[in-house]
Amino acid sequence: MAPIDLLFTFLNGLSTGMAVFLVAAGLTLIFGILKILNFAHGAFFMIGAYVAYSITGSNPSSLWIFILAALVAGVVVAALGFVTDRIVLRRLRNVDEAYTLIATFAVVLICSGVVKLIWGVNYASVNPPPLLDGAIAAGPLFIPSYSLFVIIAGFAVYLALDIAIHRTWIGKLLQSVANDGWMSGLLGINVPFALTSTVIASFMLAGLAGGLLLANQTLSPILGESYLLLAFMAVIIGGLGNVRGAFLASVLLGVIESGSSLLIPNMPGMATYVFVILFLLAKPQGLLGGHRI
Amino acid sequence: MLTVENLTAFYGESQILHDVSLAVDNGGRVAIVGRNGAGKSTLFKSIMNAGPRAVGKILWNGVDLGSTPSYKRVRAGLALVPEDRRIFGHVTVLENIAMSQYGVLAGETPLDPESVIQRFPMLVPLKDRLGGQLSGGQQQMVAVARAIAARPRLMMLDEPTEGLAPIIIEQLAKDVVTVCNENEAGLLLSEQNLWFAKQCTDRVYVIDTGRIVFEGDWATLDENADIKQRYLAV
Repeated sequence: MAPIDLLFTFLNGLSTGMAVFLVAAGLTLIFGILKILNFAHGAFFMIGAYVAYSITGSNPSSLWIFILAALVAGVVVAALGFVTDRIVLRRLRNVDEAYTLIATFAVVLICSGVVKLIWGVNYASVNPPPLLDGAIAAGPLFIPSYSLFVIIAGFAVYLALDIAIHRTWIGKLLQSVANDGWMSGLLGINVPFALTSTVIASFMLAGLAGGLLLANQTLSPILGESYLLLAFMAVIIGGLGNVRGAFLASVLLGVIESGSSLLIPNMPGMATYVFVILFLLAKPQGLLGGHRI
Repeated sequence: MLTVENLTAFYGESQILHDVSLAVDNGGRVAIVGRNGAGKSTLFKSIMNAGPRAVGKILWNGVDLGSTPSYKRVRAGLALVPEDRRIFGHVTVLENIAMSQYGVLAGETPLDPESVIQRFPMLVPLKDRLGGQLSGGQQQMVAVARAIAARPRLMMLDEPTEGLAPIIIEQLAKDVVTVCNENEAGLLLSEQNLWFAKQCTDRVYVIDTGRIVFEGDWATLDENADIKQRYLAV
């Protein structure tokens, strides 16, 4: 295999990995702090994509409209996150995980129904905006502009999240709430407010991911499932609730996915599942398991 | 002033406290002494609404706290240092102390963590060390420093001497009395170490199997050998 093929496969995998991370970011944040496995995350990713689609239509007029639509999707889904927290999630904070799974699955069904009511059941697709619909030539290598955009967006979201959690006072407060909510309350920290804020941030990330990855999707009421499985695998491989781990795992899964489609094209996804099984047998706590958030 | 009236507390179906009543005057220093499992920690957690299901009245400056969440009780001037200290391991000593800034009374400003730490000479060289890298004694000092930084009106210390070396206990007794005096804060202390409790407080309640079996000053308790033998002897 030529080095150029390897490089292309790596960049392709990096793009897939960053797309996975964009979805996994909110998922790992909410698990890291609230210990909630939010099965509805993919559904809100889908709603984010539809909201952005409502703004851009099938042919976004410019890159800025495309980015603005993603930001609006983030804000709208964040607001839905607040409502979901009030009605559902805050009631799940001290109950068995089984209730969480059932309740968030019910939210998936509600979201799917709402999407059908508002946007219908027909499939739709969105083209990349004008600046991102071509490819960039780097010597003999042609990189799709949209893939490069997804890679940059993934890195940007990771850096923002990592800095927010590990370098800011609010991040340290949230880590304290995650590590010991009981003691945090005894220091006067409004723990319920901190948890609700985390839910809102997590949902905002889901909506933003829906908007940013809009051009890669076929919009349909089952869109939420497309990335959710890979995102869950990234969260588990990374070490549940660890943002850095989820980032590394997303890149790893993306590269494996891309590499396997080159090496064993007639068995799509097989290498990823085999890797996940073998990895968890060898290191069940994940890449950075034990290191919180 | 803290007044507890006919407080009962439960963990699940198990009743831990039985009609406990006590009072701590503004600036007063009161000890709760009793054996392991007597209900001291449950009493403190019940006062802070931080765990057990409690029934009864808890009045703080005449206001019934009812179901007020723990963070609001802290912001009303109550502070609890739990027996296991619960220092945050991912932040430094100074940051641990700064975390309590959210517990100040409305309109007041928290104490500067740098100035708080000066009151605990043992902590000065450790101020930039992560909480998870401290010894038990150092963690206890940080826990007390963290509590006073919010300028509480009543500080509740739950078995602060547990696991500490005698020399640290002596230092802690001096520090506790000093900071309470400086901040005009009351003290409610749960202890098994009678020497320490005497150094820090004026009045004492003896608790046994969730019931108050004695209240008075230390001199009266010392005269009552039967109570000491029955409820406090190891």
